[in-house]
Amino acid sequence: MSRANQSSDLPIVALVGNPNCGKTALFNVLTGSRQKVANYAGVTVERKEGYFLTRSDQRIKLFDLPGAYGLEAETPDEQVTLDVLRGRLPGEQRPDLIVSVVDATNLRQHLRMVLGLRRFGIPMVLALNMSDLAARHGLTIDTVSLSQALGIPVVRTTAIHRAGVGDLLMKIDEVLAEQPVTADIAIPVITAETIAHDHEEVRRILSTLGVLDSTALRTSDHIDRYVLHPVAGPMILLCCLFVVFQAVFIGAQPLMEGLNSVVESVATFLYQRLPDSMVRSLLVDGVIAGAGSVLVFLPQIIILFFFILMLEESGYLPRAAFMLDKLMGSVGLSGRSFIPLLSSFACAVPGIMATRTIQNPRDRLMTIMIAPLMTCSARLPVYALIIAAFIPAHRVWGGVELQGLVLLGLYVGGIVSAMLVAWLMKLTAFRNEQHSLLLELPAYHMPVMRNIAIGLWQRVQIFVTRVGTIILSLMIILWFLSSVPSPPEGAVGPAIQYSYAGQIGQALSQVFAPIGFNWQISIALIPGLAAREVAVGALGTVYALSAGTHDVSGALTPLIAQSWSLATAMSLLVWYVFAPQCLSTLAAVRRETNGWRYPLIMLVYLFGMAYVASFITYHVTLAWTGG
Amino acid sequence: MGYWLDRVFIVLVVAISAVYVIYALGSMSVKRRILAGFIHCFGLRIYTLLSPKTMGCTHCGVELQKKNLIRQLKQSGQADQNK
Amino acid sequence: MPVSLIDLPLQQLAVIREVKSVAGGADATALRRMAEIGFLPGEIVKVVARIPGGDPIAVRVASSTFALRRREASSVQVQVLQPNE
Repeated sequence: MSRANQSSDLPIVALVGNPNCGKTALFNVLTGSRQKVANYAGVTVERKEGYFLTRSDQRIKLFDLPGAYGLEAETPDEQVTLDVLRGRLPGEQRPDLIVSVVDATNLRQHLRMVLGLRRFGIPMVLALNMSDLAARHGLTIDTVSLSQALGIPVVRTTAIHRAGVGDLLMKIDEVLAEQPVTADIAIPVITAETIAHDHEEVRRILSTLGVLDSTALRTSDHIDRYVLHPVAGPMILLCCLFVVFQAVFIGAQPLMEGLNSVVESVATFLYQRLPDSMVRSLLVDGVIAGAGSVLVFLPQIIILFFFILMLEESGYLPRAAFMLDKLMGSVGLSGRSFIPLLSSFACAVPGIMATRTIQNPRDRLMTIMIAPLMTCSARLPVYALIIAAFIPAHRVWGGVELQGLVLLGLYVGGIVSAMLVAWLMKLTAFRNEQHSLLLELPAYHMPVMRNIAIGLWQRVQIFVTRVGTIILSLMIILWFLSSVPSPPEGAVGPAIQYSYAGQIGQALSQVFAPIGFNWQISIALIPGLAAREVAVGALGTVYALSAGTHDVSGALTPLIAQSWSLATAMSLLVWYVFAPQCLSTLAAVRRETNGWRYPLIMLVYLFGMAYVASFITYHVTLAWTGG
Repeated sequence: MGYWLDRVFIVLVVAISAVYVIYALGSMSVKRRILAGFIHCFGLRIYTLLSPKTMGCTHCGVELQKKNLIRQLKQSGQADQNK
Repeated sequence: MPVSLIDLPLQQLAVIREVKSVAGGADATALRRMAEIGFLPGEIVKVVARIPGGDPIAVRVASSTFALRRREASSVQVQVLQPNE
């Protein structure tokens, strides 16, 4: 038997619960780094699995099922949870045990879910999570009575402090040893009556526990008075964004310099040790100048995602959606578009896939069409490179970092143009209608560093994997195209001008000359279609090859600062705000809209906007700098 | 001699990169074909040896597809090397 | 005298009397979803925040907070709770 099959014989435990019950924190505590994030087959719902050992050293496979408010499958997330529990999702096994996670401070809502889960015939353990928070609100829950009332074992846990996990592991052992899974019993259709019935049942249980009327005023309410304030709220939102982008530049500086010098010393080392050959050129000009120049932007990516994860963990993001709902409504978008658009800041592909949660087809299409205008993390290296080269690291207005301000401006530029496009679409092709919002604003939490660290680690892995695979491969091909054929006898100028890439670049630069791009940029735009940050690597390789054989000071920043005009740099920045330089995004749009129509429209309108905006920027900057 | 070794090495590296780029950017059916071809030529053992244990891209579902493909190949008896 | 949730003053505690479909209110799907997230008769509610113009509003129900549009909020009839109640 192969190794792959052994792991499928392990008992399967599923974590189920309402969103915001601390389920993911519990998952992290149980599995640590032994976890894997993927998608369920055929749907875009995130699938998390991990492993842990119980007290009796039994290895267990743990699923973190998507959070659900109910069990009647209104969203794709809930559908997946329901199908897995019934053993009806192809390729997924039915769990042997459910750990039902409830927020002890919100039993009223969460216990209803537990009652629903009991109907599935799968043995269950109840994890009374956040019990420390409940205790602080003066809410003591008698676990013995609760266990009797529900007929299932109850364990008190505090996932963020790792308390009660030992008890939970013990109970899992016990229940797994005793109770087998029964066949899928018919699950009654859930109606308003079922909900009302369960609600009564919950009230009955809570009143026997003596915790029925505990609506303690939580700290969250106090915070919300300011954070959701009509005037202070938007100011706080703006300040948050401002701080994030300042930190991206100020904080990343020392780390980036360190990484840069490592990359440079590797390049110098290889250059000196290896004999003059094509292999040396491949390693130094292709691999290191190419992929290495992308890798040095890792600190920026880490800092950006650190803040995004902090905002996500703290519970602030849905509140931002709440405040922006009106604004988004005025251009014909709904608050539901907020989350897909927000994930587009990481990458447009998951953002576009997340639009499946938008039920209204018109809203969904609009969100898909503007998602690429959100500044994805792949643009960050491009922005950072050009800003570092052309925007002086001045402090303006008493200590505000100018570079960070320009970066914020580019992000805002993307958002504003997205709003503009949405507004135009509303005027022309799509009519407007109102939809329900029903968005939970979860209680604020102090972000748990452990969860942030795990989230960051996953981001780092994704970035480094990209650099090591697709970006590296493209750089090798680009190096090859930039090195052959070798220049004719007696040729003047760098060899790259005579190569295939050089010829293509020169041909393309005819098209791009009006917006100020030289042939080096034109070359870099082609591999940049595969992934935006590749353009940075491509510039690295192209300039390394054109610089001749003696210059290996890998640093791209001073090189482009010398050879580009400010107008060219600004034009390229603006180009990157709009240009649909990402094949995966277009492929995702084709998949999601079932045809070539919308990806083609997107391609044309975004390239059109990019060209026009860059043209204006180039000529305005040129006139302004007196060129 | 060294000159020719260099050439062969570079052609090999560039070819592998090209196949990888096609794999990474290609549609699911292209990916399937490349994977199946690879497993057909080199056997499942080498494939599992090379296959990265690290997490794949979180949104493309390629990792899952790979698992299913291997399962299918095993069932169809194409992957005898793994006994 | 029951009032609609849209007319409830900020931070004023009230108890839900009825969640029903009204003209220009929530549709059937939204009503069921609202029941599921806890908008049920007998529950205590309070409006935590209002965006200028009153759309959307943040409503605390039992111990969760949800953002509702005007449309959904208009379907919720509440009775104001006096401080001594």
